[in-house]
Amino acid sequence: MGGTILLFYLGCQIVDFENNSNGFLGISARDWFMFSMMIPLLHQAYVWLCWRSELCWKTISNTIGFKGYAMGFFVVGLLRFSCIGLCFADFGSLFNPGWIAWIIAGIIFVPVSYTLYSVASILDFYERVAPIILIQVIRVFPLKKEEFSNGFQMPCIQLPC
Amino acid sequence: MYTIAMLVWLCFAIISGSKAMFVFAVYSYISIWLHYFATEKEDFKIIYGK
Repeated sequence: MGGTILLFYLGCQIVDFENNSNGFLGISARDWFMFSMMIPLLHQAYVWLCWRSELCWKTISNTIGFKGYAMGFFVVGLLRFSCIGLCFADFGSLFNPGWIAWIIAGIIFVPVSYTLYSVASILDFYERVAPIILIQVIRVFPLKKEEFSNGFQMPCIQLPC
Repeated sequence: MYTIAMLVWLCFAIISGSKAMFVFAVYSYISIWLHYFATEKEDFKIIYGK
């Protein structure tokens, strides 16, 4: 954890947002960056705390159970993708990406996507974990039937704001 | 998994050309390995034995 906190500090020192007024969805690039950087820290602290308390005192087994732990793990894990907002907010600050950038990223993405797919399959993510997360999300943000101007109806998530 | 899957953030950094995203990608990659060696590997010793 100490090493990650040090990396967090170094990362914040490298990026200069003082001359950057860009944003995405009304959130500044700086806030996207800080939020994105916080999630891995939070994720690792969560894993560390849960596993150490489980191994020392069986805390997870006696409280939320493994299913509860796994749900928290995947929710925070999915929050890591909030860095996509940072991509939009800070787009092109280093270079203007052209087709060469897309080709390089595509080449890297092939083994990445296969690895993620394999890991998710081993963890039964699609059959067991994803439905549990979806049910919990719908409990917090219930579905509501929305009708569009052309008469088309579809269920939409009700956000609190 | 950590060797390959964590490169996903590098893909996002390359297609966005964002300096902050590159910093985030490097930070994520190094921090996950730190987490593996400092936390997970130690836990594995207890769970699976040495």
